[in-house]
Amino acid sequence: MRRALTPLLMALLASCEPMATSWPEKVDFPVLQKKDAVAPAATSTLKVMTWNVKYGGGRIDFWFDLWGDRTFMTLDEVEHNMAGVYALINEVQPDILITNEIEIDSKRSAFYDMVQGILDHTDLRWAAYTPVWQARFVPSEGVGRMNMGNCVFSRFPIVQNTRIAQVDRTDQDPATKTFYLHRAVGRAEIQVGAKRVAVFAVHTEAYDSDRTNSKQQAQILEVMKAETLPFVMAGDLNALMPGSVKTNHFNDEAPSSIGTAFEQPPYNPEDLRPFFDAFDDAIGLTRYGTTEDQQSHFYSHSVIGPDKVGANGVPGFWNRRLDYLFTQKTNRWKGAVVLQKPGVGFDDFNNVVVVGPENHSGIVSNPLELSDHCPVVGLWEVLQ
Amino acid sequence: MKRAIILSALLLASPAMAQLAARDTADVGNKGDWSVGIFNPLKLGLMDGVELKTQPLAFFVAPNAMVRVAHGELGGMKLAGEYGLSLMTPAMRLTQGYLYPTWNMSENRVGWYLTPRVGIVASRGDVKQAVFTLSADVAAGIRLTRSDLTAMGGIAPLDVLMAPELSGNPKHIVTGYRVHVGGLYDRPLTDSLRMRGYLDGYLHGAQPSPFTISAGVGLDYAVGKQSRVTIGGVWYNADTGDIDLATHQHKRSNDFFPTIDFIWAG
Repeated sequence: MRRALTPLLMALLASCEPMATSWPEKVDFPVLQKKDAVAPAATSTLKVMTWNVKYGGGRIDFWFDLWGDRTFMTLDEVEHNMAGVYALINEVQPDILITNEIEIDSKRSAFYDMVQGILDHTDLRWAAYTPVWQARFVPSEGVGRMNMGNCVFSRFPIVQNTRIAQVDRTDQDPATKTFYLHRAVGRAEIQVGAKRVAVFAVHTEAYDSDRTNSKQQAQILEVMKAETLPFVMAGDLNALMPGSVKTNHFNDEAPSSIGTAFEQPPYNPEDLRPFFDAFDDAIGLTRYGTTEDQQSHFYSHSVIGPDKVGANGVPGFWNRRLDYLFTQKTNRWKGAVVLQKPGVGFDDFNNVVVVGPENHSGIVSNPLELSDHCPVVGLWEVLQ
Repeated sequence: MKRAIILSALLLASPAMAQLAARDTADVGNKGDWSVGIFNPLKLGLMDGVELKTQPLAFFVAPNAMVRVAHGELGGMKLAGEYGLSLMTPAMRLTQGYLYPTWNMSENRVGWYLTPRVGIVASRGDVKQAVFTLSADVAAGIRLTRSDLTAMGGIAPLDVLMAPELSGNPKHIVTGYRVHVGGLYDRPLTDSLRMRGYLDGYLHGAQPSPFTISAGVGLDYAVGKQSRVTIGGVWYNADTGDIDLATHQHKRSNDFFPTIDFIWAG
């Protein structure tokens, strides 16, 4: 009898979904592909785009940013916001897209599957999603069910999708820690013709007071140094470029966030220096410049949009760079652009253009309305 | 073997040799009859054939009351009507910041809801013997003031509980509903031990799918002349928003919860 009951009991328990999910150090996840997906002809230059899409929240002010108190969106709102995301992706036509804060069945985004949505509405054909926040009910502000992660999309076949766990925060109480994010590096292997390349999707901690972000960066650096394939590391590192002139008192810091769990921790612009020493960023330190005016062309983040007047008395606009594209020094970036506004982009010959929308060369979409981050796009020449 | 003998002795020899009656049937108590559990509701006979039922554990944060009335017999089945009213808003407001948003920067709020419920219960069999019970009821959330809450999602029993208030459109006057049908079979194993099995179906607003199924089994063991210990388990099958990562298709959740209680009666 006991022999019969034990497997039955184990099967019953195994079928129960845990309240919050954590993962082992390294685990493979499925690769999703568009029905009848076919790989395009191989090319040595790949257009790579990284974008934190803010869970399809557009410019809705959510409670933890302290500029508003929204907890969840209606399906209509998510569909509207995601239509804008699809439109911009279709304008850029990337070969590889890395997304942060993409959700597949979260209550706050009306259980909308954004990974499937991008496959359905763009020319991207394969998707490697790795969750970083999966809980059946987050008991905070009614957040409820959550499934958010990073995703690598590609027009070329993704042949492997691995989740590499990052260190967790140590400055939270046990209950908060249980239901909080478990950051991870998503590593996808992509077959481009005869060549195999790797893509790392990263998104490091934003609100830590124990230097978790710095520890996660060090971990990513080790993973990059150990990689044998040609690779791109892309995503929101929640860290400033070395040499950044503007490092605090940002326009989008809500005064009421000071002293809360969502206060912006101080940035140390030197944190990312080892990445710039060992690898090539798509923008690079030289192009980034040494004045705030020069650097502002590469800012990629603003919590608030143009409809909200910030702490410094001006409407929201991109005010710091947090999003990056790195590759080995043995490969190279042929061009790169931060898609801050309409008119910016690549022309038909893949030259970077920064012109008005009347030129018809840049994008028509306004990224400022689509997320609290704008995309960074680079032309990656794989020489290895 | 030794453990089996002790267990058998416990099961077969109740301290006061009381014969346990089935519960949750169409039988309505007489005036003065009462029972209450830690989690099971308080039942109090107001007069012969009319009893009051309420959840005392939740009463002060979610006032609730139901009147059960015996309606005689039809086709060999005893019939009882259930007429209830509840006010969940205080409990919902107490859990703002956890289960629900605080909304301290906007006009959004947790509104006042009144939830009427009406149902019918039909039982065949003597309550001291094997009893088969069918039940059906419907509850609807009536919005009295502005409310902006939507279904919680994620935990099936809570979703079912709050379906009348939260499973529909928060802007409508009727903000949601829950239709329930259930079957219960309760039979004695010995004078002091009963077993029960039940199956319930719920139809409600999308959260995200519009129906939930649950089933359970349990044992009631007599303690003293009237009281009992209950132990068992219940299974819920619901769409709580879970997704299969291999296919990105929604899948229904299967959840198992233990049930345990002590019910005093007099």
